[in-house]
Amino acid sequence: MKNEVILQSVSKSYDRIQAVRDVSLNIGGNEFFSILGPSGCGKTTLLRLVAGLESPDSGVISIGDRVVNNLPPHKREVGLVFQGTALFPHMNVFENIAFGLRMRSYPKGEIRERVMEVLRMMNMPPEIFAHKRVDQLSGGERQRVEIARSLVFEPRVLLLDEPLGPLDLKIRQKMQQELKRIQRMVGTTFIYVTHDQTEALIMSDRIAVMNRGEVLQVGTPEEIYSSPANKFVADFIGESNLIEGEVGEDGLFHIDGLPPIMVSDMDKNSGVRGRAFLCIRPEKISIYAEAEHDNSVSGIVLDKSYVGTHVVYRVEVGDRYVFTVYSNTSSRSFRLGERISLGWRSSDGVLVKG
Amino acid sequence: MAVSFGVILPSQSQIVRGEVFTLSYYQQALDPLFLKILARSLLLALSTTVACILIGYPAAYYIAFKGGRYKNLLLLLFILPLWVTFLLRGYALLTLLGPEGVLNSILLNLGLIREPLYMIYNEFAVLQGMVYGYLPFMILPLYASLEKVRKIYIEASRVMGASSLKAFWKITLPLSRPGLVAGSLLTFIPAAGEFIIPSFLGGPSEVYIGTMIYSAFISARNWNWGAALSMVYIVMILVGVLLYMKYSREELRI
Amino acid sequence: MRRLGDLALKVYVALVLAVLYIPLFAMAAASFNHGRSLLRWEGLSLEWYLRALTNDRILTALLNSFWVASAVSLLAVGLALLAAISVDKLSSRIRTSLHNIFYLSIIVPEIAEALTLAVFFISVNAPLGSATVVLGHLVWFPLVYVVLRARMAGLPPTYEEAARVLGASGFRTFFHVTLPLLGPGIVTGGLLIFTWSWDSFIKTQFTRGPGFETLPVYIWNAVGGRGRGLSPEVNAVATLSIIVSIVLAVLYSRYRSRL
Repeated sequence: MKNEVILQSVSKSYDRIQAVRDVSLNIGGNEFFSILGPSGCGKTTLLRLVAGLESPDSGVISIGDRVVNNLPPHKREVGLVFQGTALFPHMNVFENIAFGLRMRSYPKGEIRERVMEVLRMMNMPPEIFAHKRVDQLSGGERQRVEIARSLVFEPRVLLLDEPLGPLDLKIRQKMQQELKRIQRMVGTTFIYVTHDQTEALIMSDRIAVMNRGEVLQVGTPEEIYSSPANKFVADFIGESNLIEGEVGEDGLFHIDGLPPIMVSDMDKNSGVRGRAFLCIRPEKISIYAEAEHDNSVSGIVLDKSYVGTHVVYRVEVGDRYVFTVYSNTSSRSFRLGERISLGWRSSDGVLVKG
Repeated sequence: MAVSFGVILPSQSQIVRGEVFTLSYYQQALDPLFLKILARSLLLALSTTVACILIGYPAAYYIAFKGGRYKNLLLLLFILPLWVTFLLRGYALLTLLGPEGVLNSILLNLGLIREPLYMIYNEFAVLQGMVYGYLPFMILPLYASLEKVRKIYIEASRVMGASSLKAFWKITLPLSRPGLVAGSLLTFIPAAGEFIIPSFLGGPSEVYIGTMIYSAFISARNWNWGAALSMVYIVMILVGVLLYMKYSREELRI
Repeated sequence: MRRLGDLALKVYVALVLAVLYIPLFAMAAASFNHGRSLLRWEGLSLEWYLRALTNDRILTALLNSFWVASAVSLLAVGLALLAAISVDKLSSRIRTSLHNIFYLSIIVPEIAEALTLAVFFISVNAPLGSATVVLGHLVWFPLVYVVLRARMAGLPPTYEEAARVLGASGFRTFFHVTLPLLGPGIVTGGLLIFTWSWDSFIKTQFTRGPGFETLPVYIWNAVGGRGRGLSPEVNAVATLSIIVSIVLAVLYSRYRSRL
């Protein structure tokens, strides 16, 4: 696979605040790559570094086979879709999309053809949209024009900075599907910045999770979800039960006040020694009237809420831990205060460092 | 600040070339007669400002809260006079109120009076003219700050038990303070040195700083004296503005 | 009770407006009086307009006012634009003091500023005339600067960044994106300083040479000062000048709403 964007030990700080810390990434051709993290984690700075709107303090950024550290943004051949909307208010839809082509001195006829084509690709009939003013567009339409404007000159990479942020949930979900479709169709590498883990999981081929300027883990959505690299990733992606304990010499995980826990894939967790956290996803836990699994603990139902697709139980275990458990709506219902057992397979627990 | 000092200081030393640098013109500026004129100018500016606040506040309040769909039109009507120079507005007052003016002609024609009334050439006429001239400068900033007073603040205070008068006193008035400050500065500063209105409407004995600077420079061609007067005026204004802003906690902002 | 209060307020605002406008209307009405004296209405006539507009001195003054205001606006817009886009490259302390200077040149009363300028021109032996008048008015360029900066503050940096990423060089970004987006600011700022220059009497009076008259200076020379009395020609040109100002004001408020 030909690598399109390579970052080697890239760092950037503003006024002594380290926004990006020694980040190295290989982002391959044609993939949908997300950078996920809470706000202020440095993900937008990373994107701006790739776009050339900021220059790194140290490290090397290359796009294609070219080192671009000293290349101004307009020579980098990247597209950037902004957070809010950066459509030029003094130009209509056509002129906005044609801007990049005009800057590259394309012949008039070709500009026209390409703009029409990209509009059709966005499911925006040119005869309706080409001459609309920017302020006549809905939020979703603006976002699509902004994407079209960045794709029309066929950049090597399309950078997207929380492009769906301001949209309503429904339109957001629709646009997620749209973006995926467009990415497959054009085959350009997309680097997508978001703080929404669901969005990242749904759309991406691979995800980089960032916190405090550092990349904590890179992997496919499944890898990130099922084997988080540390407590932050486990906590940030999806919901997890994280319980602190100690890896014992006997190969079991010891938690104060609970029986020793078996964690089968100890080789997967071989790096983990001493104090650690056990991470179990709520949907991997089953509730029984009595114990019947590899690992089981007993508890009391504190609270339950029905959320449509499943029922969420909060269960107090060993007087000091509260487990969150998702239970199928079709399975037996438990009452508040009922004494029950929680069980999970030893392969469903993952040990992570704090 | 640097504009005025930077320009005036070298120019003064230039003007007194051939002579020694002298402060005698400043001494002259501290003469009791001049101090009296200074005091009169400040008093005029102060009364103009106060009168503009009293007359302008209800008008600004009306536009901001009761303007409804006529808000923009009303605003435009209050802005328009600002675009007409004081020279013409002063002259317009003269055509209306002067001894040969329109008002006198109407009254004479109606037979209500036999002789033209002398409504101008006195101190009160000057004050009237000043208020007429500066009122829009007060109303606009007042409106701008009142407009930002959101209705829910007032409604909230009403629900919490304030009478409408109390709500005005405790909510609306304090929130409109930036407008009061800006409007007062916009009125007071130029009013203290106003030249056109007093020279159209004032009597021969009413001399103010503005008319004095004008005649020192244009009629008497005594530049040093004019420059000294201007400096006194500028310094006075700057000190006043700085003090006012310090106590009202407003800042110069661009 | 409340409706009564509202009504009273409404009547009050109408009264204030009447006071603001009656003098102007009285003057305009007088300009259409056939007779020379205002004391007698002798019928509607355009005579004074005709006389004013065939008077060489008035025509010259009108033209002078027009070209001075135009030159001042163009130069001031250029200067302000240059200042507004380059000021960000200065350190914030220098920028703040620059802003204070700009601000003061707006609030320093015209008469003090006029005298300072005149003394300056005389002390450097600059011949007083149309050029010194233009230079004097140009000192008001911070007006345009303030409008432009306000406009710039309202524009997110993303527009320029987007243009850069889409392939525009810094130069082309300025001409294709920044400048058009500043458009309404340029127009409003230009209109504002045009009006200040068009209306300026004191500054012009202090910095002009003998024989160079703008419209306000002509009007002052004809009717200014105590006891000069009224002049029907002046009523006519004054009315014309006010119409120009009102047209400018309406244009201004129209562009202003696009800011």
